[in-house]
Amino acid sequence: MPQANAIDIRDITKVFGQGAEAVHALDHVSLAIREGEFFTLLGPSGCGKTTLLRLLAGFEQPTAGVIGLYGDDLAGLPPFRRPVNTVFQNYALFPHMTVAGNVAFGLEMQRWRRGDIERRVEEVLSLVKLAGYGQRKPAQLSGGQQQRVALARALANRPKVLLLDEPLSALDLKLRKEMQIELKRLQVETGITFVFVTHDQEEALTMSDRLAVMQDGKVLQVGTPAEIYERPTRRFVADFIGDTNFLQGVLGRAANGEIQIKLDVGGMVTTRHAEAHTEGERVTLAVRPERVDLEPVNAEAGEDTGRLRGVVETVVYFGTDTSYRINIDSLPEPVLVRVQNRQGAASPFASGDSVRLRIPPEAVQVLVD
Amino acid sequence: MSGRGGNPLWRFAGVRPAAALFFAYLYLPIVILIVLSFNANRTVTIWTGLTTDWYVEVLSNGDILRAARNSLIVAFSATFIATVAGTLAALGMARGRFRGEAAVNGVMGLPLVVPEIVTAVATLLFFILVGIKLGLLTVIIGHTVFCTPFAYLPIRARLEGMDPSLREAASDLYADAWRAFRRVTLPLLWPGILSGALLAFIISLDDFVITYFVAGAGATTLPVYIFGMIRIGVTPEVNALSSLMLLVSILFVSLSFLVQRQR
Ligand SMILES: Nc1ncnc2c1ncn2[C@@H]1O[C@H](COP(=O)(O)OP(=O)(O)O)[C@@H](O)[C@H]1O
Ligand SMILES: [Mg+2]
Repeated sequence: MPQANAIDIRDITKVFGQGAEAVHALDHVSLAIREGEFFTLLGPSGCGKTTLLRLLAGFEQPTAGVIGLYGDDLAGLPPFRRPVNTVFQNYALFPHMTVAGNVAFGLEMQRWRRGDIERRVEEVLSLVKLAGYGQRKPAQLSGGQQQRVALARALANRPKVLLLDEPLSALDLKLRKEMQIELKRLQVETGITFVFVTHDQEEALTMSDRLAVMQDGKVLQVGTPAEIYERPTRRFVADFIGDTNFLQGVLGRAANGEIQIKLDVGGMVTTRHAEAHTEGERVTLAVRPERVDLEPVNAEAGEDTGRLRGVVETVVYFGTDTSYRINIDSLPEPVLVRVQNRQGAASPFASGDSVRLRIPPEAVQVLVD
Repeated sequence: MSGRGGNPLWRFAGVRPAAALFFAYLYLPIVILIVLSFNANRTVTIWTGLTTDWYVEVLSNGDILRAARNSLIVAFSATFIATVAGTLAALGMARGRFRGEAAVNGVMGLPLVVPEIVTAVATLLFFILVGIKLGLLTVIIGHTVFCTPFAYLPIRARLEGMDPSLREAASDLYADAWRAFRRVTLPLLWPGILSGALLAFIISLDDFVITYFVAGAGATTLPVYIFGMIRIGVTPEVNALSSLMLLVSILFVSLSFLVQRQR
């Protein structure tokens, strides 16, 4: 896959309103989106995802900063001159036109020849599995079908970049799962760069090649789903995506490629990555529940490195795994631990049991803030 | 009667008679007018039999036909100007907020609340001051004033109910401002424009006060003509003519209603 940048967002700021009522929807955002990738903007409602997408489409102009599309500065270019297309959250299908009329609209505006338009409309409708629906009106279609028409209408133009603003949020769960697979298939088949907006972390992890996690108009972290999940750099990122335990400690010295951390709750853990930090610094650690192991307490074992003592509070069976909440003295919240279930074996620990948590170095992620 | 899920108000004694009385109050005079327009006897109070003679007489009366022609010329002209102005105003107002927007909105609706007699006197005064000779033109200008808000309101309402992302979608799909308007905004606005025009048309057709003030010689419209006839006495011709006007009004209101209901 070529690694050229389809989109270069450099130091974009967007302010709505003036004076005391000014809203900083985007605050010095920089991003590079590569050609042909499925890129997701993930973040809670109000973090600026839609605003960023609208800046790319040309519906809004940035207050400061530059947006480049394949190296061309998009500043001042109106939406109808940008080779990008949008799938709107509410679909925005033209109610007075047929499905075919909707799909043909962009081609007509670009003055394609009639025969070419007809052929392309057929082609795109079958791509989204709506062949034969051309003469219906949008109101005669189900929500999922309308969604496909919106996709077809945008894809028909072979845009350089397709922008999708929470396209699946209006669908029920089953249909949403289907459309996730469908969208991914379309993206791979067409090779078009997708910029996809969602507030659903699971959707973002399963669909994206890379994603950007946003909060309050800022991009906190960019990476592949695995990087974001395994190596979150911010507390917000670790918290927003999946379940996480947070522990506090003081960074010790490095030895043999491992750095010791003295935990506030007592005991030590080690980590392999703490590049941005110095010895003696107070740090917050993120530990994923499924990276922690549980061991029975045997009399001879002491409090050695990477092990903490605790008492099981609750046990919840989930089929593929079992989830434990473990109370540790002086820690205000119990630690969450998830252990994969072995075939035929019941949970080895029950509520009230004393256990030891084993936290291996790979499980410990030192956060930036 | 406690109908299945019916209106709970029926429970109260007297609601039915009150409703019936109210409708009688509204429509009984009109029903009587229509019935009497078919009365064969020239004296209004004596019923002798059915006839359509009065209608024949009305439709062959040169003065009445001239007045009808004037009415139609005025109504069509005023409707056209008011609808174009109302459409442009609605499109302009929908473009976004601006300083003094509330004031402009208020002024747009002002002709609806200013007493008509005041508008009539003011308009007459204005024409005299400016020195325009009273005639059909002054009637058309006068009608345009009070027809514009009637045309404007349904168009504005339609535009307000329109999803703004449709225009953005058109723009996203390579339509410049003009083509987005012609292919998306205008077709969706059409029912609003049509119902605004129909409303303006009926309002113009039955206006009396302003017309009476600013119509010069030869610019008599139907309502003004009927008023002139009444001064001599309520004749069967008046009844027939009024019934005909009622028919036209009902036709237009129904049309406006149908157009508005359609998506
Ligand atoms: N046109 C606008 N005028 C004023 N504030 C706006 C406008 N559009 C968005 N905002 C504000 O900018 C922030 C980001 O909004 P948005 O981009 O829609 O977030 P998201 O799509 O992530 O939910 C919000 O605080 C929102 O209220
Ligand atoms: Mg949004």
